[in-house]
Amino acid sequence: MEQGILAGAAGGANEAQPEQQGSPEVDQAMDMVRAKLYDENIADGIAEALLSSDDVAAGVAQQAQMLLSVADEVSQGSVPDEDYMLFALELMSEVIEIAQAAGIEVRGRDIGVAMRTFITGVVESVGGDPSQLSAAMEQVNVDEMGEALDAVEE
Amino acid sequence: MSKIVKGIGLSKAVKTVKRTVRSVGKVVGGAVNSIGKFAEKVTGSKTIGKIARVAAMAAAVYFGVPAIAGAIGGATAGAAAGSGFWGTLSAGVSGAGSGAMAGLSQAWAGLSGAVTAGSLSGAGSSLAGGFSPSAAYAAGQGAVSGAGVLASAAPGAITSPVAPQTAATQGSTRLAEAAVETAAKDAAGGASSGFFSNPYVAPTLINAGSQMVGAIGSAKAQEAQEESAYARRRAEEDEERKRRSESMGILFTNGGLAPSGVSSYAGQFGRGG
Repeated sequence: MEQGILAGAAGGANEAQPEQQGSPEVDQAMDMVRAKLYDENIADGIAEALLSSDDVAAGVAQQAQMLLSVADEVSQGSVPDEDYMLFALELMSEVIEIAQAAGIEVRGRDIGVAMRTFITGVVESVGGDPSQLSAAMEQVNVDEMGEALDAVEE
Repeated sequence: MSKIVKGIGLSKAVKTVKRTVRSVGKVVGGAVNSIGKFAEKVTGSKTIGKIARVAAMAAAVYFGVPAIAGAIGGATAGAAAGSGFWGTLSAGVSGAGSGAMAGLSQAWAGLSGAVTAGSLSGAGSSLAGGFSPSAAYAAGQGAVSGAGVLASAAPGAITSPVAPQTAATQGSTRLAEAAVETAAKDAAGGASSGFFSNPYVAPTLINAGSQMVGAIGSAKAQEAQEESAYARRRAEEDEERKRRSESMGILFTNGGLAPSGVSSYAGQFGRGG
């Protein structure tokens, strides 16, 4: 990595993960995905797609879901079902890191909206009916949530 | 590369990726448990980056984890614990989040067909504590994750046996079992006096309980069938993956083989875009 528009993203991602947080399978799959993203500049492709998107939240959600599909395939489904959403969440964080490293300002509100879209997409992708969940998530005030997320300390 | 070409590339790549078969019940049920724990751990960490923490917090909100909201509020600059957005969520009082949290709990419970052990004990306490419909309703709405089903079932148990059956068929079998057990115990002169010892109420509850037991049996049979079908699908997929692996080599170690020039990155994972 260390070249292209994401020169700082790998470092940022590494700094963000100094300790293992998830299950061993998730950690292993994330290590594999990070190596792929940053050692082979795939993160640059994601950054380009994010930069070309008019809607930050939609772009982040779309790229995160795409990355999840591909990562699940290349890791050969090694992440257990019970930890799949955790895996998805970590990939989402990775995409946000990439966006920020590419110079895109990702606000708390964007993260809130992107997370909502992403969760809906993941549930649908595993065969669930997200309609009730989607309606419930719509009840959360994303403006207030965004302000609260923006206030989180470094 | 134009946005349109990228869009085509991505959607094409999505079609070419053969997804792993996953059980929605396990994915959702596991997530409801693990996301809360993960978010709690991440929120309190001094070494985790801000993005990971913020993403975990957002996820915790959508997964209906009000318990960690107080901790999040305390970790938020310029906001005292218990106030603002997080405070509203954790308090479960009127405001931006309370109704949403109840709806989210119900939605996840409906998707996963599972409830947490905490919600079971909460439900049991409410029932054993004299079974005030309003109290049970409030517990279901605000305080207990996954007990939204109880909220819809509890008032119905008084007037109609149909509602508990509906709750049970929605998949909340363990909750239903707990409710049946508690109801039967109380109706037989167990722990509490009062509501359950009322001669007009007890038969209704027992009748409701019988129907719930039937529904539980059906739900369990259906669950067993789903488990069996899921295992078959996984076995088939493992077999196919093995075949593809043998013929194409390991995708991941051969990454970068087939950059499509269309998809932004999917091709670099070894899958043509």
